Amino acid sequence: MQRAFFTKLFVLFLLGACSSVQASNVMPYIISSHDFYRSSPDQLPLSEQMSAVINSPPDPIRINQLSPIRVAFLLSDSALNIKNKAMLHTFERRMQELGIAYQIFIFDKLLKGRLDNPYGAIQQDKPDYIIATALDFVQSRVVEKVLQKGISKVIYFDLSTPLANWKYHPPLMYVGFDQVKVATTLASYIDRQLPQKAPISALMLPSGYLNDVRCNSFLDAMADRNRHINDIQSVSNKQGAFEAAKRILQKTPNAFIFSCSQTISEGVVEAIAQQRKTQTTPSFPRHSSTELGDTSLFAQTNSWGMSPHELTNLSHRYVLVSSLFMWDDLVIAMAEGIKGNMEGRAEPALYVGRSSIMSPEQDNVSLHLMLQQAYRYSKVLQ
Amino acid sequence: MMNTLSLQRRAIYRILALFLGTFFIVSAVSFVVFDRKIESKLKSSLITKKQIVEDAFESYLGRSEYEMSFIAQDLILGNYEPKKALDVLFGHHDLLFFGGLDFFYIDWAHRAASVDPRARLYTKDDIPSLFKKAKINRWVKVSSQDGAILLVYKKKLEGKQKGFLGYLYGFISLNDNLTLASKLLDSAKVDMVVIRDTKTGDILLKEGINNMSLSDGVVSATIALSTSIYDSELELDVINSDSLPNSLLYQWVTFIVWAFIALTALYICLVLLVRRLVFKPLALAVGEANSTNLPFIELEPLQAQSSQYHQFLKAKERRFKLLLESSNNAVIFCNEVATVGTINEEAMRLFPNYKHARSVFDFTPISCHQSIQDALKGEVGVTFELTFTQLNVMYQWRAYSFINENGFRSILLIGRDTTHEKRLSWQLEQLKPSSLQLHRHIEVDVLLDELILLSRWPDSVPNEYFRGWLSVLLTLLEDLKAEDSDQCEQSVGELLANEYEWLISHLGGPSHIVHIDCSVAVGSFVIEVDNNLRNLLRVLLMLMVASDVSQRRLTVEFDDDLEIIISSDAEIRPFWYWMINALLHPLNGRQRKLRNNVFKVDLPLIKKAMQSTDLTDSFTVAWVFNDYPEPEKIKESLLRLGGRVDAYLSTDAFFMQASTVTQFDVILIGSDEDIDAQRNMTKALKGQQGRDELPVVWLGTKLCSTIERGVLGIFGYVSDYQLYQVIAQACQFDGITPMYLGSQQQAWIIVGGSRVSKAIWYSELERLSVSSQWLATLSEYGAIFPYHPDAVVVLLEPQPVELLQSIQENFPNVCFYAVQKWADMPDNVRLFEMNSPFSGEQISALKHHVQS
Repeated sequence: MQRAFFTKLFVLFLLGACSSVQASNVMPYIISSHDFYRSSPDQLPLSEQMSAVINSPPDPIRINQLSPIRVAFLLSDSALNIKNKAMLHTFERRMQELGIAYQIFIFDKLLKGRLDNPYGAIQQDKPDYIIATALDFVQSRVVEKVLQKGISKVIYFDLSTPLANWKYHPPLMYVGFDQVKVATTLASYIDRQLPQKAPISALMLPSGYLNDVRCNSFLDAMADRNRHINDIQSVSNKQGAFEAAKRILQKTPNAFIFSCSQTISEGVVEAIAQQRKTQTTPSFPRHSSTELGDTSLFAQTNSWGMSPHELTNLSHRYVLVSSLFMWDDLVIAMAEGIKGNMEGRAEPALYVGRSSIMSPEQDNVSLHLMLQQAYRYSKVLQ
Repeated sequence: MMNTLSLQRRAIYRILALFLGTFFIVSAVSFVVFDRKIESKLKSSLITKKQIVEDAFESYLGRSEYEMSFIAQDLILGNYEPKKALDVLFGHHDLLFFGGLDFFYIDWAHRAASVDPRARLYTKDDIPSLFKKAKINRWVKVSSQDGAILLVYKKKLEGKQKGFLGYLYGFISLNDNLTLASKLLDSAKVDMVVIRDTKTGDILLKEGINNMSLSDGVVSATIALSTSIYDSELELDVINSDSLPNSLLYQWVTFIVWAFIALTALYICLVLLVRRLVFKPLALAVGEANSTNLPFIELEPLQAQSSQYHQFLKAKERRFKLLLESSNNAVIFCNEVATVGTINEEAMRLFPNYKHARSVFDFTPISCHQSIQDALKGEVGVTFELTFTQLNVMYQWRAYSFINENGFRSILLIGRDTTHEKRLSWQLEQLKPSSLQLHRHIEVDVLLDELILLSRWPDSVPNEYFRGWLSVLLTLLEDLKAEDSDQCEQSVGELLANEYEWLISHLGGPSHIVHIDCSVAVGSFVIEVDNNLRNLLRVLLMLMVASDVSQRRLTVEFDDDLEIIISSDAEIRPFWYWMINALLHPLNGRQRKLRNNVFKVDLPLIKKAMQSTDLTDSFTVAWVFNDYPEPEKIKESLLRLGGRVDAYLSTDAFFMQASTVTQFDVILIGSDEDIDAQRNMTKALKGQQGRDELPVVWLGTKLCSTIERGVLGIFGYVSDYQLYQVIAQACQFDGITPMYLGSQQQAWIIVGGSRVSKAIWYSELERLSVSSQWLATLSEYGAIFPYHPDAVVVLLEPQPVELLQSIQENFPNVCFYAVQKWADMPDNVRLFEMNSPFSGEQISALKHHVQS
């Protein structure tokens, strides 16, 4: 029975990856954080406790380790990716601060088929903890097998919606952000900022978890606010986004283009920047906070807080609003989860990280401070 | 008496009650358990059914999603003309009419929306307003204004080539969807399903089979429904009618039957076991109660107690035997039919034939049978005497009745040997009493005291009295010493009279009236009289007669004993006490001193006979009391005796006074000092009646030795008895008819006048043989004149005019003569003037004047 569900899930993923015609739907297979806490009320205090631990100075582990713990990281793409690098750095640093002896095994580029038998390869290293970083078919398959065997403990990174199918063999911890909430917040902000008739387009991700959870939630939230979105397109990379944005801007130069991911946002920003350069509107305001209100005159997009030029984009009004995720908090939660597990304490099965939005209305100092807070361990890398 | 109980039956009933109780409890508990079991089974099956309903619901949603995908794909891939898109869709897919989706709505991105015509069948609301809250790829619950509750599913229409086309909205009605409801009911075979929104409490779907009613007994389960509907908290009620399944009843009844059989078997076993282990040995043990050793420890105290009782009874029996044999009495115990039960040796000796007798009557003499039967009937104090001549013994038997152990009246005969006793008493009777009896010794001190007191008597007491007193004393002392006694029978009244006469003859008349009360009834009892009694009476009478200051009264009564009571103001002197005691002793009498100096003597005398007390029912007495003291007492006595009494002050009054009496049976003439008055009157009566034997009785306070012949008399004291006696004698003579002197002639009535005048008139009128009556006044003329309507009234003193006139009016024949003239004398009064003192001539002249 369970296998049949998993098989169905994989088929859906495959369909999502391969077919753009028939949109898949992951919603029936995930449990929202809200539903999770409602069905397990005892988890909420643990989660709040974890939030307090994350925001307090590290407390070293109180047990004597006989041998270093072995932690395996499953990465879909390269370990050198800035996101992954930041994650590893933060993790290592927190582990050191906690005084836990550890060994890290990294299995990267899994989605690109670097390993023929990822499960076998991982098992060879006999990790105590496996950290899965994305809900793709490779990692989910490996994790499923690990959970079934019960050899290692799994922490799912960047996934705040526990999977219903793993209800009876759950991972040690899910850590992630509430994407629906972020999308709804964004929609609310944009709705307030843009004039009623302002043209809005949306560049969505191809069918998949993030598309279903984040992009569709944004569309629903906008529909709920009676906002008509003129153009909806799916793009899979930065180039696609750039081109799509350019097409949109040609039709409606002052459109607000919703970007559903950081990559898309970067493409759109590029297209907007290009449009600005070509138009060279003399009236375009520069660092003029007094004219910020008139957002319908020029094209803008949104960002997801991971661009190296985040503040610049904001100040240049390429970006109307940026979502900021406390990525380092997630990693710290993983380290603290491992520590608590080693000590035998109860740890929350789900930790939802904090997120906020950055807007041009805020002054630079505040925005800097916000970024510092979000990347308090990994900022050294940037 | 307490009702006895059967221990065995009690035990059996108690055990039965226990088992019945157990049976009922088991029945009740088992019913509850079975009921609960079935209910929990139903509930658990309902929970399973809920899962099925949930699955059916989800599969329905899944199918609808599939339809949505199908339509979406058709719309993306098909190149339909905008206006005909719906027609084409329906034309291509018949399943749309019978599918899960109730209706759909296509919100095209760049053209007008297409609305499924079925939408109007579900709601009149604006559809876009309904799907405002819809979520992409999620089912969301929406409610229309007109009460339709719908689930809406939003799907993006996005093709790779065509790009974003718009949204497809699919709707499923919840509260108006028979297909869904039937599927839910059908899937789990339940009678009713209710889907409720937990947040708002609204019922989203409610459907039951046709004849389902919630008022019947139902079993329901309310469980949270987990669905894929976005942000919803639903509850599912699965309801099944709770008809008590026959299987439950069957199972329960089967169980009960088995339980009953098991308990019955157990009960029988237990009862048998109890009988065998407890009651049978108990019965055996009771049979062997007397054996020395009982096999059961529990019965030992009982046995000990029983043997103790046994010993106790034995000891009692021995004591009883000992008592029977040692009592020197003949004892016979008989039962209710007089059969001899127990008999002691002495009784056996008396009645040797008792063994052959059936009852006590067979060997006892007939004379005592009545007594025994009386005792058998419950009479108490039955005694009889039996003389056994062959043994030469006498036994006094006493019969006691008692209730025997069977509850019947039985009899105990105790015979006491009284042979010696009787013999001795006879011997004693033969012996003469001793002359030297202590009580007859005179106490000299007492006598001396009395004599000293005598010497202190006043001089006024005549010497004769002293002499008499001493002679009486000496006579009494002499008689006291004398041993032989003259015995005779005499009535009490006569005895009293004789002794009084004897005493007076010695002492002379008493200085005061003696009161002796002796009623006719008491006086007429005849008793045996001896010297002692005589002397006792003399002493008692002496106390009466003796010259003391105080008056004494002697009352004689006869109840069982002769009681003589002396009430006096002063105490009786010690000598007389001694004397009375000395005389009482041989008479077995006793004396008592009561309060207020009342002295009482009781003499146990046997009434020998009674004098006849015949007397004419009524007699008429003329009581001429003259100077007799206390004439009223005599009158009261006469009235007590039933006589009619006419009292007259004097002889003259008797002759003069008019009376209605035609004949006097007896004439009592009293006197104290004036003895001649009696004699004169008797003489007058004799003359008048012309015979010597007249019923005339003289009453005198002093003894009169010269009583006339043919005249009865009582002297000294007068009691009822004496009066009776004398009247009875007098009544034997012919009665006396009163003859007034004035009856043949004209009556003369003399009014007023001094004593001297009256004396002159009286003597002169006597001489002239004129009968006269004497009145002080004429005020009571009504009592006289009716008898003398033609009387001659001589007024010696002036009288009221009115009175004279009224008399004249009433009695016109009455002639009034005045001897003196007085003022305003009425005309009807004739004046025959006389000069005082009146002389015989004048009176004689008046007579002649009147007659002329």
